[in-house]
Amino acid sequence: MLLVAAVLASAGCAAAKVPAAGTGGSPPVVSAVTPAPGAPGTIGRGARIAVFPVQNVSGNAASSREVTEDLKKSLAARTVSLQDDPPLDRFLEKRRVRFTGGLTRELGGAFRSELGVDAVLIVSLDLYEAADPPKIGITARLVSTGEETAILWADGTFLSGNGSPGLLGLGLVTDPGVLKARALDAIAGSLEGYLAGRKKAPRGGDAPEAGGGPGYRSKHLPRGLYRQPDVRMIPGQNPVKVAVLPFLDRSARPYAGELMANHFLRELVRWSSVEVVEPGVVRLALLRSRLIMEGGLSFPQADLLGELLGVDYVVTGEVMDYQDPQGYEGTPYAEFSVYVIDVKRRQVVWMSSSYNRGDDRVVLFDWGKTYTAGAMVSEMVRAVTDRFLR
Amino acid sequence: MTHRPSFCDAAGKTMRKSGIILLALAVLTGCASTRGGEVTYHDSNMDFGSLQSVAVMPFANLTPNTNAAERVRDVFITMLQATGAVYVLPPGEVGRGISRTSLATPAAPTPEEVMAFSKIVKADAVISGVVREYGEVRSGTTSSNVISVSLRMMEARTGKVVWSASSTRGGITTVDRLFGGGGKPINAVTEEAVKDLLDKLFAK
Repeated sequence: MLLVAAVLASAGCAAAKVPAAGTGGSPPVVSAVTPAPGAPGTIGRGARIAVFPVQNVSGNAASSREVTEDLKKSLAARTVSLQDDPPLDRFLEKRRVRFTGGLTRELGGAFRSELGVDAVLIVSLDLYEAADPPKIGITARLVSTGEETAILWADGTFLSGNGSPGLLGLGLVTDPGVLKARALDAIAGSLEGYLAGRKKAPRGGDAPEAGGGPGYRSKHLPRGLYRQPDVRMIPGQNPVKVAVLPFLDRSARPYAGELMANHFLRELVRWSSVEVVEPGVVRLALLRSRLIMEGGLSFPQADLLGELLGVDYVVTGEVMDYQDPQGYEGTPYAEFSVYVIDVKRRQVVWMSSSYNRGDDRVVLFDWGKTYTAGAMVSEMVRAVTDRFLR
Repeated sequence: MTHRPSFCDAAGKTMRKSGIILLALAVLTGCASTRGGEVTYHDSNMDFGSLQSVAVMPFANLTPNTNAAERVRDVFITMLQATGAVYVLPPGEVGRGISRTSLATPAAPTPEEVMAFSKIVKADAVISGVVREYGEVRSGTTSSNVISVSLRMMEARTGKVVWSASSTRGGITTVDRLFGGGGKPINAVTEEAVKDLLDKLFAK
């Protein structure tokens, strides 16, 4: 009896140790990003930031306006200097900006010259489930204005109400509002940390070592991979320029292709040897060149992107599955493949396939279980980028 | 004259019994296995070492699972590329070739189509395939995952089939029937089948 009580207590304690801004029972997915060395437009605490309306790619009905307003309040409470709403609304209306998932160079230039804004915060609601247990996933990135549109910071957090049940289920969260507040607090805190100069990952090094470890578990390594032997990103040299394209979506989850590209973007930006092109710029290039990738990216299309964006590598792939569990039972499942094309050499230099379930290698008390697909995929993608770039 | 049973007779009877039991076991095991009837064809005149780039066409799907062909193709492409023996064209480049040659049935191209397609994408060989089974099978209360795939490789220069093989993995085994169990996950079974096909491709 005593033994059972001790085990239960330790299980409760272990669950309670999971940070609020984590992934719900698994290691934190928050991946604060530092800009590449020498990246233009590095900004600090006094910088003026415009917050784009939140883009809802959760596939569920959610009040994007409410999330946007709550995020602004959270940022304002942390004394982050924000662009006032009326001029921003007028600017977006005048420029007929409908897509708020990216920033183009033209728009970035106009933000700088017309509003005097230093950076734009692009926020995406990746997961929203109000039913018990609630789930939420918010990702954000800070993009400098002006012509360079460099990604300065990126972060994401995925939470589930049953992620940290604790002893006797006291840690269960059934109110989606509480979960939303936690997620927004995590994002705002991370951005504030970046602006204050507190970096989670070392700047200018070869590989980011979040918390001294690789930031993923071995079970999330790709199942099959090919890596061109002579490809190596050398720290200290000019970073290679990479465009991440939306993945071909073969899953039942709406926007899974965009979500997957977003995961890769957040992980790639962590590396000082890589400069990731802002997705808004990539999107405009695809639209202007009327480039439709049926079944994937072909070499002539990669050539075109290389010419338009000046990129060295293009990252793309396919998503087979991207499922979040419904209710308390079930487990997330994700399956995807990724390939990296060297634009100059017209060759695939990386190819890998990954699949995982949230309860992989979980044998006791749900220890090590991941409760959201977003959190799990973050680790899987981190494992892929780590293997490719290290 | 009466025949008296000798030690040799007794030993012979025991051996016959053992033989019958072994035969029965072999037959039973053979029935339970899903690997029967698999054949591999290798063109003896083909120099497989000369192949440098290979295009993998979309597979035909004969299963009720709508994504089965894409899933198997995806795993096959990655694992084939991972061998490092050949360079596999990215799916988008294959798609461009299919579009340029206006292939009506990319899963089963004619020799002429293979030649025209290979010229456009600069491939030395083209692999096409059929996914015959993919997913869960049930027998009574037991269920398991099974996959069955057939592949063939066509030489780019002539459009001739130079290699063909099939593989079936997973399914309900005697052990599953006796002790239950859900078998392996479909991804693991797919990887096994693809590995088997690659072993057959690179076999001497």
